[in-house]
This record gives sequence, C-alpha cells and structure tokens, in this order.
Amino acid sequence: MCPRMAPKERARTALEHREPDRVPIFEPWMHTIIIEKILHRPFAGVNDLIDCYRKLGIDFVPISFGAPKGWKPKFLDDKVFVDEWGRKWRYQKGAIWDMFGFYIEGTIDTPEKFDEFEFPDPLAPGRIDDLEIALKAVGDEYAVMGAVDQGIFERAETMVGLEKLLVCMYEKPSFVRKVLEEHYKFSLELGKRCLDAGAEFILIGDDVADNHGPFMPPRLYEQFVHPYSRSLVQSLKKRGAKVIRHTDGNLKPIMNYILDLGIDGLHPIQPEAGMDIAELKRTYGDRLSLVGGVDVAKLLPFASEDEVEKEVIEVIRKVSPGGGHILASTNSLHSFVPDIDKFVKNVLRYVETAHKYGVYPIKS
Amino acid sequence: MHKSRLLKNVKERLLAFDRDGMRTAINQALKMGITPAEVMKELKEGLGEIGAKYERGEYFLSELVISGEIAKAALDVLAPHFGKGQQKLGKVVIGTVEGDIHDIGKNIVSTILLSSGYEVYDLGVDVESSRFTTEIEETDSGILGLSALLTSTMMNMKTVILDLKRAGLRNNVKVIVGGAPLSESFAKEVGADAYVRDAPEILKTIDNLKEE
Repeated sequence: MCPRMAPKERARTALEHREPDRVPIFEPWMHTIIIEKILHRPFAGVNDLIDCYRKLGIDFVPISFGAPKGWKPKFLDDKVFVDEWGRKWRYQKGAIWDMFGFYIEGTIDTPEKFDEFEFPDPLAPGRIDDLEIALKAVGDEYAVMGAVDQGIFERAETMVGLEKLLVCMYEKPSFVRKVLEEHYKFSLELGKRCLDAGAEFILIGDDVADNHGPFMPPRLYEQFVHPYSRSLVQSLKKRGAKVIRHTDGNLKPIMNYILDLGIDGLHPIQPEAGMDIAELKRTYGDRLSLVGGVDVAKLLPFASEDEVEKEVIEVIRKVSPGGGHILASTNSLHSFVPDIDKFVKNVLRYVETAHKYGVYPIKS
Repeated sequence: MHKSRLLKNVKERLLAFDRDGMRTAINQALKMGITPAEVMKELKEGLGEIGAKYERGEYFLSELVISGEIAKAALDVLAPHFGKGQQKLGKVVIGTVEGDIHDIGKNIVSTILLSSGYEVYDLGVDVESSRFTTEIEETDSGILGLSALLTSTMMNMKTVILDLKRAGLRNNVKVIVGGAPLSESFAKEVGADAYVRDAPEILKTIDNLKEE
C-alpha cells in the first residue's frame, strides 16, 4: 500500500494516538559527519540538514535555535571556547548543534557570578533564522519543529556545573530557583517565537536523568524542576503546539511528573536505562505517544544490517499497532561510534525498514 | 558526650547532608580524644550506607554528590590532625581515558575513595595512556581506575592496559574499569581485573580484589 499522508499529517496523527498511514520517523539531532555521508557532499548549513531528512524520509524536521547574528565564540586557545552561557567546550569539527564539540564545564557557578552575568536574549536577531528557512522550504509538507534545546534544567546545569547545581539544591536553594527561572523564561520566549514564526511542533530537549535515575530524588525534582518544565509545556500547548519532550535516562521514579507535563510525545526511551518502550506503550499509551525503539547504544553501532532490520520490524510489531508510536533512535544520530560507515549503513537500513514494514494496518 | 555518641553524630551529620553540623561534630569528637582514624571509619560507613541506598534505587545522583561534598569538608577538618605516618588504605590512580571528557562518575569514585582513606591521584579527563603508566610508576600505586562514557573511547582502556604490560607494571596493579557503556564481559575482553557498574560499588570491588 502506498503511503497517502504527508509527513506533517502523519506526525500529527501519531502524536494524537491514532494510526497514520505508516509509522512516522523522528530523529532530533544528526551529526554533520552523518549528514555528509548520507548526502555525499560537505555540510554547508541548514539546507543540507533539511535535504538529509528528506532523503532519508524522516517525517519531522527539528531545527535547533542558533546564536545571535554576528555572535562569535570566545576561544581561550586553539581548541577550547566559551559559549553564550559561559560554558566551556572543546571544539570538534562537525559536532551536533552546528559547531559545539565536547562540553567541558560551566563557569557561572556562584550566585555572585550569576548576578553579574548578562543573560542571553532569546529574541536576539538570528536565533531562529534556520527555523524560518526550514518552514519556508518544507513547512507545508513536513513536521518542522522549533527545537528548544537543553530546555531548562540541562542548560542550567551545564552553565553552573551539574555537581555544583545539585549541591546548591541542598545548600543554596534560592540560587537554584533563580537560575532555573531565567532558563525557563528564555525557553518560553524562544518557544513562543518559534510558534509565531509558523512552527506547529516544538521539541524540548532537557535531560534530567541518567541510566540510574533522575539526577535528584523525586521530592527535589518536584520542588525545583517540575513547576518550570510543566509551565513551559503548558504555555506552548495553549498556543496550539504539539510538543515532544526529550530526556535521557531512567524516568520511572518521576513518571507521574512526566505525565503531568502534558506533552504529546516522549523521546528517547532508553532501554539501557531500564525504559521498556513496549511496557510504556501498554501502561501510558493512551496519554503519551512513545518516540523511540531503535537502539543507538548497541544495535546501530555494532549490529549487522540484517539484525537492524529484524529489530526494527520487531519494535514496529510490538509498539506501533493502534498508533501513538513514532520510530526513533534511542538518543540521536551522533558520531561517537567506533565505525561511522557501518553506523550510517545501519541507519539507512533502519529507515528503509520503517518505510517498508511500518505501513498500517500493523498486526502485533 | 560519650565517645560512641560523638562518632554516631559524625555519621548522622553525613546522612543529613549537614556541612556545618559535620564540622562541629568532628571538632567535638577530636576534642574528646577520638582519633582521625576512628572518624574516618565512621565516614566510610556512612558513605557505604548512602552507596547501598543508591544501588537499591532509593537514592539518586544528588545524594551521592552532596554526601561526597560533606565528606570532603570533613576531611578538610581532619587533615591537620593526621599524625605523621598516617596509614592509608592504598594508593589509587584514576582518570577518564583519552578522547573522553565525562567525569561525574569518576569524580564520585574519587571522592568516595578519598573519604574512605585512600590516597587518590586523579588525573582528570581525556588522559593519555602514557600518563597513567607514568603516574603509577611515580606514585607506586596498586590500583588503577579507568572511566569512559562513550562507545568510541572505551576501547582506549585496552591501550592503557597494554601499555601497563609493556612497562612491566601490569602485575603490580589492579585495574578497575567503569562507565555507562561498559559491562563485565567488556572488562574481561580488555583485560581489566574488575568492572564497577555504579560508583558506590568501588569500595566493595577493591575489598574483593584485595581478598583474591
């Protein structure tokens, strides 16, 4: 059966827990090295990212926000630079998010430094230039998303330093609230700006957990993080956005708060963190679309193409019936793998399999 | 106050994540003639309890980090009171392997070891193989802890172990590896002596290796 829906309609239908013509595919971030391998040409900006999504047949086109026009990172030496939030990074060519490489540390790590810090402007010219290009190019057809990367907690913890921010939750709670509030305001204004520009879908990336569990006990999560996260989602939803929330890790201890956010989809549902997508579909499938299922820790870097196909078919059969499932890797298409060519071949097989076997009706 | 009560107070302040209370408790204990070694034993027990709760899923990263901070503050109070020739439990060289800059798990392991009476040489992140070998030789350490979070860097652990062999140091050192993408079988494959799944397991793992 030939797919009948446009990618955007397919995406929306799955997020509304209904069966589209085929299981949609979502990938939040792609390393530029992978884009180059797929397009067979050097990466030259957002148009290549859009082409890559189109070539692969991925239904969502998430576009990260950019730095203000004319902003330049401050290089401390030939490799290490400081970004808008005072975070130190080691430059790595072609890393995720345009130029970002490896995060080293946050430097705005005391209340005094924070008070002196001039917080970046979410509405600065240039922030959503890439998004506007994508909306104009493919916004009628594809589910173009405004990506509010590192939402609230993650941007805050990378700015202050995760360990320091966690310690401050016990010893300087008002400082933590102040930091989170500023990041909340930034993300809200940015999200609203994306919607005003015409985006109908928002991706909020914001890691609050690792494989063991949330970075803090549920009671601290409720006190510090949840009110801001919920308010961000609710405000954007009120303006008609469909919202996918990305957070790594084992979310089971805070699953009630995740449901309370009111998001449409949850990504990436990491099996190595004990998150079982089939089980989540059974338990929460009526309230939450599940976005994930293709293991990027073991399967895509290490398995054979046939094993990838087998696994993708299995996850489609287990999770896709009834709708409310969007196929995605269990993190992102990153480059931290031992054999990048093998990884790309497996990614191609994964999307081919999704197109071939993800057509509804699907029997479990 | 009775000695056992004073020591109990040290552990309680750790479990309550109470930095100021910890300083007071240790000063009181020292004033009453309790030795730094006795206080250290109490701290080690407290960290062990926190680690066990973390392993059972009752505690989370923030509790490991804050308790580590409190234990470090305790060590600062104790440091001037350690006599010469204070017996350390052993020497450990630790670091994140080359190409990888993740350090939270490694930092927690480092703090637990330090607070439990080990002498720790933390080389930081993105550490070249040769630096591990040199540090082990120079410090005469018996334990090496290697950390990695990326599947693309974890194989660098094998390089470090091979370099240790080449330098003729492998038999003098127990190598312990840890990090999210690792497993028992990976540890065996690269020739490590032990794998630590979660940071708080480190003390148990070292004790087991010492018994072997």
